[in-house]
Amino acid sequence: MSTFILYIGIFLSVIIRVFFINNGTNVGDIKLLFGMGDAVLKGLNPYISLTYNSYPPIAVYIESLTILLSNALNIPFHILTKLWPNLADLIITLLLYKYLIRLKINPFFASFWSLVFILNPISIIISSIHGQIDSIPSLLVLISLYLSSLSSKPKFYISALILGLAIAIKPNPLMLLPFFLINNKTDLRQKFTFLLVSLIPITLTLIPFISQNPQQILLRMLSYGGVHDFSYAAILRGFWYQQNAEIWLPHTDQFFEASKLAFILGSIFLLIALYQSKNLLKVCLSVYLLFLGIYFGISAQYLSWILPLAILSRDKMIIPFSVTGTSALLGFYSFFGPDILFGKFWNGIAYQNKYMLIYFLGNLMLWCTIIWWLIRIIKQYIDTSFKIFSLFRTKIVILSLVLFVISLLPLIQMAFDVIVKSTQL
Amino acid sequence: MFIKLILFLLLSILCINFSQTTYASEHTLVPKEELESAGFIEYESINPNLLIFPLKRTLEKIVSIFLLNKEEKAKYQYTLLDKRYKELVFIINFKKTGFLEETVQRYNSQLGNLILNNKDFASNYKYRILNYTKVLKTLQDRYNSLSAYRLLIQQAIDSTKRLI
Repeated sequence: MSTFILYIGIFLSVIIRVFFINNGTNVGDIKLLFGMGDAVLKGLNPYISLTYNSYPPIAVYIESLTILLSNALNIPFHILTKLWPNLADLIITLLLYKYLIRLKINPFFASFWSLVFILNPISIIISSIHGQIDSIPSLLVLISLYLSSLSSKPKFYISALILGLAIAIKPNPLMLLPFFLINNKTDLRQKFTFLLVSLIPITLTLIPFISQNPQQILLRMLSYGGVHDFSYAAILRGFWYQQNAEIWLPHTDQFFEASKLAFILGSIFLLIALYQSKNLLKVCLSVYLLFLGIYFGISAQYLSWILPLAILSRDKMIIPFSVTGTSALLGFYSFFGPDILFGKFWNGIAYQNKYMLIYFLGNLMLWCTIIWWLIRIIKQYIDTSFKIFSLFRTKIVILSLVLFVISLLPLIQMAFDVIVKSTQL
Repeated sequence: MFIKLILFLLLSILCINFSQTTYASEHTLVPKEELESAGFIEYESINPNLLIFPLKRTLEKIVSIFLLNKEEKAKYQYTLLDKRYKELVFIINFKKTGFLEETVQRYNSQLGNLILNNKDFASNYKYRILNYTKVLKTLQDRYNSLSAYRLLIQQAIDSTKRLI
């Protein structure tokens, strides 16, 4: 019965996804993905020739392959490129079900939780409407996590290799690497090998591109900050919009720098506080939540990272996160890119005043949910584990927390300035 | 607790939003006294630049659904025109030109609605509507003849004249 419910849900999701894919158009990030793949096929280096930042090499190769397939099968690129993330979503669903069963969860609840993923509006919007490929690294992270900490017979090096493959598609799993290292029950030599193995895919695949101009390419890759479309940046953009319909915030470079530092210090705090936590899944979830809540450059697709981790840990906060995240996404696309959301059905113009309120309120509620959730996870862990910390570790945890809080002050100050200026005539 | 926090944040935003129009108006296009002498009385409390403006519009639409009497409906439509006019004056005078195009379209659309459906009642509001053109001209004169903003305001003036 439970598998029947699961398959019905998957079937329903496939119908919804096919509808959106079929009615989508060649807009937004789809064009950028095409540019990356096309550059390689033309013999150009996408890390030099493109005016925007290219994704890591495996993602670029996936897009090149999609262009070749598109030409061979005579299927438009914007349809075919959405096949991969949706396929990844489907595999994630089946894996979630399998992993939950292995964790001795009732089959009915296992299928319910798996359906929360495949029918989740965030997952559908990002993979089928936006066409972003983030669910591919998310799938690899999920497998890596399972092999590393949830399986009865951990396979660390395969886990490291799969995590490395995820990093070679999109760089976000890199932020989880330190937590994989410190939470594995391995000795120092094994940890070092884990680190090396996880860096092999990105290193090997980058070599052909990076050798042309290492300094420029590395500098470009490391300096990329993202686009500030979601989380508190979106709240501030909502306020700032009131000034004179301005859609970009002032002093964004300072925001990026301050938020980078705050995120690094926040990660250090998590690294110390959650050291040797038995629940690597929750640790990874808290790192992603910290990133979404503190970092300034949050894009739409980043919201999808949370889903598999939250579902596998059966955290009910996934419900408010999905509701608020969906509102934020709908507000975002309605205002900035209605042609992405409505596809062939759209005939109007972007930047309509009335959608700014949905974008603003959606992000306000989303950001509150993220921060609330993060504090809740840390508090739960601290409540149970703080008592057994050594005096030295307690002091280090408090010190890292104080440093993290101090690093937030410039961000708070800048955010406050934006709000004050935006409310003055 | 979580709901309380959300409510607190929403209320704070509403307070900040409402406080905006009460700020001192130092950098206006036309001084307050000059606008008053041209016949302008007061601004709307919620203007198109505010995040909560769509809520005001939604409320107006709900009110108009419940008005069944034709005369009352027409009267309400003229009240809405007055609101759109005051909002337009606010946007022009406070130089929030990023909102100007949409605000002019909103004003023109309301005028178009009245021209099509309720022009018979226009004579009751003739002096008030004439005053709109006078105030809008006062504001328009502050832009040079090649300015796109001047053209947009001219559209609003021309549409107003069609009603009377």
